[in-house]
Amino acid sequence: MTVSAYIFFIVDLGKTQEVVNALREIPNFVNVAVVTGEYDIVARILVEDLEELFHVTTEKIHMIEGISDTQTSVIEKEVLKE
Amino acid sequence: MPAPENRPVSRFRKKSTFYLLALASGIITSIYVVLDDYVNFEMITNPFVFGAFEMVVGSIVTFLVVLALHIPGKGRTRLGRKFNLGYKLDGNFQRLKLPTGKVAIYTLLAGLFATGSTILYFYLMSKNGSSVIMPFSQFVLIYLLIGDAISDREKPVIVEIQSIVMIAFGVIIASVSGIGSSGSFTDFLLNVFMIVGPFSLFSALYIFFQKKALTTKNKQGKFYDSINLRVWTMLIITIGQVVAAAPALSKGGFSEVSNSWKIALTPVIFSMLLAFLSIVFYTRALTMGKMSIVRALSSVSVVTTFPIIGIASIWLPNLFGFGGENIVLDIVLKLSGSVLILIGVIALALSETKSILLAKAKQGFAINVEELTKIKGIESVSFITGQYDLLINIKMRSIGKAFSLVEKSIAKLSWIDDVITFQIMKEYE
Repeated sequence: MTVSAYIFFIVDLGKTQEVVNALREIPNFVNVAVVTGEYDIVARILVEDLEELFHVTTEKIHMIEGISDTQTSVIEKEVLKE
Repeated sequence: MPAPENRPVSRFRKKSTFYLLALASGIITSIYVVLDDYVNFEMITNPFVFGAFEMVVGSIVTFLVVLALHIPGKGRTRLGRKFNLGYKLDGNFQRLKLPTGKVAIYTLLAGLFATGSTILYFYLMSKNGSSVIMPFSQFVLIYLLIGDAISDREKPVIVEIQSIVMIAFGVIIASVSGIGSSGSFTDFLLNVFMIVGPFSLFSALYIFFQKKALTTKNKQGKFYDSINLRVWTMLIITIGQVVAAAPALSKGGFSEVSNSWKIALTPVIFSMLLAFLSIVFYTRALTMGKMSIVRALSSVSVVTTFPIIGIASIWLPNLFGFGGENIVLDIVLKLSGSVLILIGVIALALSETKSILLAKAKQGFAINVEELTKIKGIESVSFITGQYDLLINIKMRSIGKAFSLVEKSIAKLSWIDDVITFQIMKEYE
C-alpha cells in the first residue's frame, strides 16, 4: 500500500530553479510545480509507507540547500474528475 | 491511493503525449498520402478501383498487424494485466474483440460515416485534384468546434478559436497554390459545396463517433481501445469501398488491378501500415483532448508533405515536381501557411493554465466531493492532512476562466469555508 503526499515549499530568494532541479533528482516525486502565492513550490511525492516518507523528507529533501520551510500533507483519499 | 496513471517525474508528461500523438499522426499521414498519390498516378489510375484495392489490402494488413500485437512480452502492466506488444501502442488493448453495447453502435456509426466520407473523397478526387479538396476540407474544424461546444457543454475560449482558425487558414494557404479546376465555375462551386457540406460533415461525425466509442465504458467499466476500433471501422470502410467501386470494377477496373497488383502491392502495404499507426495515434489523442484540437494538430500533415514531395520529386519529377513558372509564389505560400500553422499550434499548447486550490471545509458540514468533480475544469480532488482539508487541481484555458470557476462555482458551495489559489507557473510531471 503506497502513500502519496503533497509537500509545500518556501524557498530562499533566487534559489527556486536549483531547488526544483534537486527535487527532480529524487525518484519519489511524481510532480513538481512552481507556483504563485503563499508557497513557492508544490510537489507530489509517492512512497511505500510513512516510514519512507519520513526518510525521504528528513534525509533527502531537508538536505537541499535553498529550502527555508516545508509543510507536508498526506493524501487520505483522491477523487478524479468524472 | 495514488492514481494508476501517476508516474515518476522524469517520464513523458500527459500533455506532451497528447501533442506528440496528434502531431506524429499528421507527419505519418503525409508519408502515406504521397505513397498513395504515387500508386494512383503510376499503377491504378481509377480512384474508386484504387480505393477498393487499397482498402482490401489494408484490411488484411491491419488484421495481420493486430495478430502480431498479441505477442506477449515480459512482465505485467501497471494494472496487473499480461503485457503484450499492443499495450505499447494503446494501454487499453488486450486482444482482438468485437465491441458490445453502446460501443458497438458508436463503432458501426463511425465506420458508416468513414465509408461515406471515403467514397465522397474518391468521387471528388476524380473530379478535382487534391489541391482543391485539401484546403476546403479544413472546414471540418468548424463542425468539430460545434461538436466540442455541445459535448463539453462549454463554449470554446477565444484562444482556441484563434489558434484553430490560424491553423485552418495556414493549411488553406499552404495547399491553395495549385488550385485550378478543369470544369466550369458552377462545377467548381458545386464541388466546393460537396466538400464543405456532406464530405466535411461525414468526416466530423466519423471523428465524433470514434471519440464516443473510445470514451464510453463497457459493462465491466473498461474502455475500448484504438486498435480494435481501427480493425472494425476498417472492415466497414472496405465493404463500402468495394460496393462503391463495383461499377468501375466491371468497366475494366478488374483488368487494371490484375495487371498492376504485383507492383502496387508493396507500396500499398507500406502505406496501409503507416495509415494504421497514424489512425491509432490519432484516435488515442482523441481520448485525451478536444476533437477540434486533435484535428487541427494533425493538419500539420499538409506542411510535412512538402519535404516528402521534395524528396520524392528527385526520383519522380513528372509526378511530384513543383509547378515550374510559379515556383517562387508556391514557396512563399507554403512558407506563409507553415508559419501560420506553427504559431497556431504553439499558441494552443501554451494557452493552458493550471492552478492548485487549497480549501477548508466548514465545521459540522459534510464534504460533498461529487459536487466538485462534476464542475468542468476540476481534474482531481484530494483529501489531505494539515491546515487545509482539500487540494483541488484545476485546468483551464485562461486565468479569467479559473477565476470564474473559483468565484461562481467552488466558493458558492455551502460547505466551503475558505479557499486559497496557487497559479502554476512551471510544472514537471
